[in-house]
Amino acid sequence: MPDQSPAPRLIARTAFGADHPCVETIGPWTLTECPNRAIASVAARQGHEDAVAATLATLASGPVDLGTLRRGPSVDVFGTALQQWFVTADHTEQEHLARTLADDLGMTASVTEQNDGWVVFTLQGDGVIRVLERLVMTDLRALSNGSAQRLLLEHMNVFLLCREQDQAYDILVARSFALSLHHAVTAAMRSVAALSTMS
Amino acid sequence: MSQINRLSGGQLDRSRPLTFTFDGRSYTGHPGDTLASALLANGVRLMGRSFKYHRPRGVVSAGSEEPNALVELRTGARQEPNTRATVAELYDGLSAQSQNRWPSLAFDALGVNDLFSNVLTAGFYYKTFMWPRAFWEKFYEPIIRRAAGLGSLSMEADPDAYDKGFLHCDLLVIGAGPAGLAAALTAGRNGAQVILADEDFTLGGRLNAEVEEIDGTPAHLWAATAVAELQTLPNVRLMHRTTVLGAFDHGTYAALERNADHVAAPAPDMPRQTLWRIYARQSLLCAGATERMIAFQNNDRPGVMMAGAMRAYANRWAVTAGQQVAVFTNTDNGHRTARDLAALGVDVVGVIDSRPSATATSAALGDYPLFAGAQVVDAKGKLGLTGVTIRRADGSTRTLPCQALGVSGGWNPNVSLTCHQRGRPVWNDQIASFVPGAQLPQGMRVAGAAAGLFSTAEALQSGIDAARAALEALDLKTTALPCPRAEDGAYDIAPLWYVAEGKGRKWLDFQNDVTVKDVKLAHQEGFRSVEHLKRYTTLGMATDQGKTSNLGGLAVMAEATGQSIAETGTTMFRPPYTPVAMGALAGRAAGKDFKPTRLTPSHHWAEEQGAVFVEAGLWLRAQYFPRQGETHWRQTVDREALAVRRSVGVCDVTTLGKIDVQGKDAAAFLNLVYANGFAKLPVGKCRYGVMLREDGIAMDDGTAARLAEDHFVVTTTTANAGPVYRHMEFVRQCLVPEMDVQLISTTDAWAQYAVAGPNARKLLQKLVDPGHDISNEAFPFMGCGEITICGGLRARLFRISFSGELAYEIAVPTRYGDALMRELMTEGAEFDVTPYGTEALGVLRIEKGHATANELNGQTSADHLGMGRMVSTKKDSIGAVLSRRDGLNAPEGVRLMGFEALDGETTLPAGSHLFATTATAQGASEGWLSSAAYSPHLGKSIALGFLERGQDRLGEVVTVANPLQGQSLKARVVSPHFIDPEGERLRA
Repeated sequence: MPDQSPAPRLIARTAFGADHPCVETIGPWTLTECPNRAIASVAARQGHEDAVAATLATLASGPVDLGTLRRGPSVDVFGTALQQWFVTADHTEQEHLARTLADDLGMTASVTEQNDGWVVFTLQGDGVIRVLERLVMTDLRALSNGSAQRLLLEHMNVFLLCREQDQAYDILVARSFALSLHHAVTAAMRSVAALSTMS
Repeated sequence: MSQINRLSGGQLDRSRPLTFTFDGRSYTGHPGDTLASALLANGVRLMGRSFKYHRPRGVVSAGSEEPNALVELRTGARQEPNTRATVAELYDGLSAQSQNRWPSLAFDALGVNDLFSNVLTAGFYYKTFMWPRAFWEKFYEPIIRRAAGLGSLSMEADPDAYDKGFLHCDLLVIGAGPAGLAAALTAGRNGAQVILADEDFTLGGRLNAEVEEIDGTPAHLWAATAVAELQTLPNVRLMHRTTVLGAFDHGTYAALERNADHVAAPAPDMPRQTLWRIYARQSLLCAGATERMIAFQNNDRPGVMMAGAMRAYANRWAVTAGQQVAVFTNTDNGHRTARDLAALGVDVVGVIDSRPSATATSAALGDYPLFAGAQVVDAKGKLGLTGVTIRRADGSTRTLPCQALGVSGGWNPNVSLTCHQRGRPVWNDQIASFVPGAQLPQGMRVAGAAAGLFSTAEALQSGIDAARAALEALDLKTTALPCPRAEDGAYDIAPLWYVAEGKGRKWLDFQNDVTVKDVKLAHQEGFRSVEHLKRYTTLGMATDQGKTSNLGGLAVMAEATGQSIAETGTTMFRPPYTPVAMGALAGRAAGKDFKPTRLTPSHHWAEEQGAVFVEAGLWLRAQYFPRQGETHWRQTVDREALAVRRSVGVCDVTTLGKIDVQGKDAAAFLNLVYANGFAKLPVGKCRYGVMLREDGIAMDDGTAARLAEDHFVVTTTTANAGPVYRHMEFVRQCLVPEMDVQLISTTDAWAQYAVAGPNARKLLQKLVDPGHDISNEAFPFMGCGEITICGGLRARLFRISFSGELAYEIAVPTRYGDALMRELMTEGAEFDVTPYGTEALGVLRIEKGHATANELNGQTSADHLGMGRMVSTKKDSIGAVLSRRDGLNAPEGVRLMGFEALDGETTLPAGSHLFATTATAQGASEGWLSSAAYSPHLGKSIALGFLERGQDRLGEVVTVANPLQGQSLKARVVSPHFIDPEGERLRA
């Protein structure tokens, strides 16, 4: 059974105030809003660091160090800071991800719901590094599959997750910035697409 | 006009003619031309006027060092002043105008300045415009600015977009001449991540300008082959039209890529230029060298140019500046120019070689008249060179008719980027020039002519060696690349900086009109340090930064002081290497995109309601919601505020910072960061709290709600959400790392609305699910809890009030925020629910006497705010001790008070200063108004403010001075709690 709120009178909207996710294709690249992600932050409490890391490693099918992303059968986990992680899952299936994790981790960790604290975008397409290199200062060719970095993108604090190098990335930004992030990324997409037409 | 000076050969696409205009006259050129080469091809030598004397000037160089041929490129909003014609790539329809002349380039009325050159010497402004002092700003400066200056601005907004970006590489190679290409090939073939950047649109550097062979192939074809190979290497990024502008800390470089300057206008969405920040683990400067002038009488005549440039125009662009040319040189280099032009059929009327040893067998490279040991002593022809007068070794003079003179005074390695991190170049006697010093930017090496290695063979070999060394430094593999066979001639120079003969002006700095005499005058008047010389004469201060002039000036100063040039030293080289458009520095951060914008959960709904928005930090908040028939914002705000007091209103307060605080020591942690006690706050309760800075000044206020024993939610003001979070993290990580506490922002995670007014509970009861009792008894003032609403949606409810009314703040996951607002409006219709914006929010809180950012301005203490008793003396908290320091809270200090306009109606302007009515004109301010509003509830203008001894002055009438708007008003001092001082409403 999906773990979600029982048919609320209130209808969820995307960060753009829409019923459907925002999808923008420019040139070979597509930026897609992914509202169907549940997110929870996990921070280990003192003395329980190893236990929390072990629990998350079980969920993610392997250890999740700072700066890495690992995909488990039902959740993804990436390290956000020292002894801190974000866990993401399908929102339809696990809207109450934070509560579930809090129950599982008990007093070993502080868990906070972040479902709507962040908006997840995917940016994908051949050679997408050419777009991202206009936006973030990290060495994208050194950012291998399964890497996670916290960066600034046009003054916005983002997480950049490398799903497939030069092909597919997730960008997480605080929800209120969604429109500005969309603008920044699509502007870069248009820019590179236009430059590609130059002989 | 046909291309009368076009030669055979060159690296042009002659199959395609390009049409362009200069000063309204139409000409033709070809792809591969620059504006300068195309103008020369069309017989145009006069391209500009000088900065100060408005002297006629022609092109001097063939590169970015050009001081003279500056034009206004394009028209309308895209007009760009001071564009160097030597690097402006020709395109069809190009339009250029000469600048700094009136009415025309050939006849410039301000050329009259040249007649007063004896007066307008170095330091003229400093000496002349001393008196009367008041005349400078209103009289002298406007006149001088009108007379001087270079290009003009269109005064229209730049229509183009600019980008920025970030690149990383193992090796950044700066310059794609022989050294740069050899280095890039070496590193590229070895698999390193390489960026090769060059400011030219055709890579190859001097290889494109010389007649020589590499491995038996014409040099420019070898370069093209090398570029073609580099293009196939996936680990090599070639960046044409890209100038590396500066070397910064830790191997960081700025580079400007001109994406669309070679077309009439960028295509839609295309950036005109991109400013790159390049992180290079190693770098290799292969920036080549710049030829220098020999100063002689009238050496600024249009047609006098660098010999290397003359050769480049002939070989690369198939252009001669005149059908008869001469060369003046002190190196073998000038002879190459004579050789190449003669080979192309140009009449070389003579090579004037200042070296007595230069003979037909030792130096000459062709059959042309050679005047060894001779010097050019004068140039003729005002608007264009007609001939030069030479003094021969035997003392006789002779005039050689010519339309162009190539001058080679030697070559200066381009050391600029080696000095951007405070490196200083060192003097090299062998080439009579400065070469890079030992102190280089981190990870930088230098190769080729930039290192003072002037033969092609040396350049190639040094490029290979330096690239290998760079790779070895990175522990990358390095396989040796065989060095191609190339020219390896010696560089024989006999320094000659200026020709002593002649009383006329001998020009050093063409762009800023500095002469040999100016430098000597500076010396005579005591400005002998190179830094003083620069400022006094303006030598090297123009847009070209003295690339062709600085060393000449230093040499003249060295001679005057009797020091060597090495002892005289150089001025600092600073970025940018060449001028950069301001737009490129801004990138896309222009106009409304200057910063990101944050939208509230109810933003789209508010737009539908026709809300007027206001910026609050990065947030865009609804300021007020005008209704039909309301003609003034005050009508709207008054209505909204009264609606809250009368029934119920809803305001989006999501922007307030929310910080999730968890952990075993969460309560102890908050007890430390808040001045008042939090340790014993029961679960299910909120508490208002004040945070102090370490120095005891109030930092922020807000509430903390205890959701569980080990779980709090802290709210901050909108303005201080970031700073408070940062402060708390600092405390957690640095001051009390032993505490078990975890923090994370949840500002964006929850949509939070204030529901305020006597009917607030009734409205919420229609949404809250059965099983959650929010009656006054079960959920009293300052209660909080996790509930469900609207059929099971999780929510948080806080009974807190900013307005002074019965009020709640309700929070739901943000994706439901839009729907919750709509639901509140629907269900609240029976109560005439009213959305209210930040203006009404402000009115309500001023009426209630709540402090906010206006009052928490970084200068006020808890005592000043009337909250002194909140600073607990029973525990330690950050800032508590210093909040009690002597003098801070003296009774005679300011206190937060209320103020009512004496006549009721007149607005009390926030920011006004307060004076006793008995104060004299010289009296000191006794306080200020921090917030002001018209209170529709009270029917009068009110304000909050700080007044000395305010607590003792209730009822006193004070003067409210607003000198900026010429106002002097009267207000009565009252309690800051204008409504419900006992708090009965909010507990109802």
